[in-house]
Amino acid sequence: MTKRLSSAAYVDRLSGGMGPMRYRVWLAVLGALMAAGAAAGVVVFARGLVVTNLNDIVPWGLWITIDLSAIAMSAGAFLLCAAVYLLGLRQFQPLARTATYLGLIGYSMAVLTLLLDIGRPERFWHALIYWNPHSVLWEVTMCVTLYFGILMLETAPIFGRSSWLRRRWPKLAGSMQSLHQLAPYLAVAGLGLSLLHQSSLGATYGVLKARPIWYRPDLSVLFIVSAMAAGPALTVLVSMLAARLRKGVRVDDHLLERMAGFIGWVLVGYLYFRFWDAFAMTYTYEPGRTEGLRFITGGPLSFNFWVLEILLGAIVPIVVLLHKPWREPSVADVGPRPGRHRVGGLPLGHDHGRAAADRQLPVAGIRGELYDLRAVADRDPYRRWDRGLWRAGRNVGDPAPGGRGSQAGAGAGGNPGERAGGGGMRVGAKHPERSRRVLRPWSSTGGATLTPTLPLKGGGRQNEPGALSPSPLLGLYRPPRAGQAPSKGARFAVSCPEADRLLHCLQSRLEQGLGVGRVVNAHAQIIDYELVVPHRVGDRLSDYQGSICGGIAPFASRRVVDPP
Amino acid sequence: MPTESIHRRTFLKVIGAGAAATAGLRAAARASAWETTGDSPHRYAMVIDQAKCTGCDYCSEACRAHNDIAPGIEWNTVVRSGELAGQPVYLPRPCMHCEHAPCVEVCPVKASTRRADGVVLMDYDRCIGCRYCQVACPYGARSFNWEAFTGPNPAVPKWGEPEVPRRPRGVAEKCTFCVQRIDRGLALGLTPGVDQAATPACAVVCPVGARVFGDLADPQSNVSRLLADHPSYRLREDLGTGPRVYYLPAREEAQA
Repeated sequence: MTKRLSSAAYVDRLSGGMGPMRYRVWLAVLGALMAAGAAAGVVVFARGLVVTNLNDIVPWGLWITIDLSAIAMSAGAFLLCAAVYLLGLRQFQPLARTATYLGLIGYSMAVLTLLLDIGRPERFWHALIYWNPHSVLWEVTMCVTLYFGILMLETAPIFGRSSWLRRRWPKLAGSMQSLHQLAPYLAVAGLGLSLLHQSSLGATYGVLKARPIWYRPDLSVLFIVSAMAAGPALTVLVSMLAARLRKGVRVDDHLLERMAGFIGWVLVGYLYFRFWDAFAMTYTYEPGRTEGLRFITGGPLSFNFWVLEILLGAIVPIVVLLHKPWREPSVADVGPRPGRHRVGGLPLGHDHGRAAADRQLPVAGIRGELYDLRAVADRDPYRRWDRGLWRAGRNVGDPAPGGRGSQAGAGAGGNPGERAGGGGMRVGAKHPERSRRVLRPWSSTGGATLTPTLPLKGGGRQNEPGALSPSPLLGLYRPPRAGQAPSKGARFAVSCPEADRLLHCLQSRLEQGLGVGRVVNAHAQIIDYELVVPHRVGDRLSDYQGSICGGIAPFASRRVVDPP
Repeated sequence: MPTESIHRRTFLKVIGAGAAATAGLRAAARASAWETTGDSPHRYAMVIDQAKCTGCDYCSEACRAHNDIAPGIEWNTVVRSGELAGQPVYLPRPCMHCEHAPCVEVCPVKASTRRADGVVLMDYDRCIGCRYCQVACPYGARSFNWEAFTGPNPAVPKWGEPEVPRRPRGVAEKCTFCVQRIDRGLALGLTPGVDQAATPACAVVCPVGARVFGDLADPQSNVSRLLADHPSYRLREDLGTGPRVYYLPAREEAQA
């Protein structure tokens, strides 16, 4: 099916528009860094830790710092997975994937650094066999090991999507992708393990009577709060970098902005705890403790404390992230420029209120330069696990929660047609006031072309088994290219009634001459509750191949996860 | 939903297999090098009389020779801690063999253990070299083998040889109260603290008798009598570690 790409074309595709030369230079730089690290690692393994300049007075040095930072900056993984799978904030799914992937990298870094840092690397497994439950470090080791496994399971679907793996081992790739069904369970386990060891890392220092600067019970609180800021911050940073560096990656600025606000408030909390933590060091005149405070605030480390930690680590980010004009992307950035589109279901938040948008999942959408149409289902037609963890009936905007609960029950009953039909239509039938979905033109066009309101009532088809295709569908409107005649009568393989109506509407509008160009049909697939759409007019489908960040999954020959 | 249940089953199988493997390995795991359970009639302790110590450092040298300690490492150190009546006061510092030893509590693999008789010991075959014990020890009594110690030990005289094997690179080590002498002595029917062959090398070698080793459980032992007759202190008692090394402070009348 897939023919092998020539290596030049492959590099071109991987480089995401960076240009093969720049891409190769980047690869060379990163490869050189990795080679240097590997060489240093070999030196440490061969000659021992004596090469590190650590000594018996300072037995823990830079590596532990790298280790702790890597783990803290991986905290985005558990936070975002919890947000998506436990709190039901589905629109963060793209960021959750980025964060999970970063988490895997971060924990790999931590584990590898630890391997170098311990004196007997070949005995790394001893903590798993010889248990000392008294030891905080033992608990951290166990949690990190287990959580590393969970991260591998969580990222398996991402790797399972790589075209290379699918070509070589399609069966393995298939089962790796289907691991996403475990995501909610993994999110629960990951949340517990992460909360445990992220704070225990602080306790690792907090229990040390021998070191009065660290010997504080609230060090674990400071550690987890700072991790809650650092993890999402790294996720946001990487998402933005990915959007800038790679053509095929789209990042939702609105999501990033919400994350940024969250980080800002977490940092306010950190500052609060930090203040009382420092202040409490003066409560008792314990030798070492008060001196420790003086040492930090006025001694040789005062620059680190005041400028690096308090100013640059907390106050500056708080101001930048909580001051709205500075946090928001500039207007010029929001337009239909590559990489700056709002994607996923978020713009609906402007229509239905943020709270409702939090719990609504877009199942289809049409986006072009002129239009941005979406249909929303009140519950995910592909969700298989909603019986336990996340009830469909929790729609905030729902006028009758009881009614929704019964529908969720019916949905779980096993009628595939009903379940896959999308809650939107059933809501439409039961609650006439919700039967109209507001569809607005893409804001950047000034609201010119499309009827702003469009009825989206469910037809009679939603209960017919087999009437629904596995993939809700998405049409993409393209403006004509130069010298290209507009083609009409685009083909739609719509089965989801909402999408059907949407596309029908768009098509008729096009035929009425409101738009020029052609509608290409494209299958949008919901995999792991993520809307997969091409996000930019004129994008080639292959632009989306293999991209991980920003929630754009590979597009063209995806395996569809069948609804139950 | 056949797919899902298959996945769940596989998942549970994998988890179960992992747990079973861990349990099996734990069952098959090597026991600690030291017997840490059970009861002991002994409570070994050391009393160091600062009034007597002259800072000659013989104890450190004897310790090096008997335990084959690398040149960069000190199990036993003597620091000058102050002055009294114009005379210097020294503080010899072995491992404190704490009753609630922080190193034992923090060790993630139970390589640091405390025997029932109160001797805190290392299992060098189990230690992973994380150095948490070093960070946790309030007394700085622990050392790490940053590099392999090869070649002859300058502290070991030509006419003798060390009593314990050399530690490998990458593990922590510390004073053992010369546990090899205690155990061998007990096996021979000797009394540690009374018979020199069963007493730590530092106490045996001390030319002024500043170090006294013995059994606190025996009220007639020399350490028990010393502590009953003299005021004593222990290092950082406020931490609650319960050191088993007692110091008799320097006294003005003794300096004269």
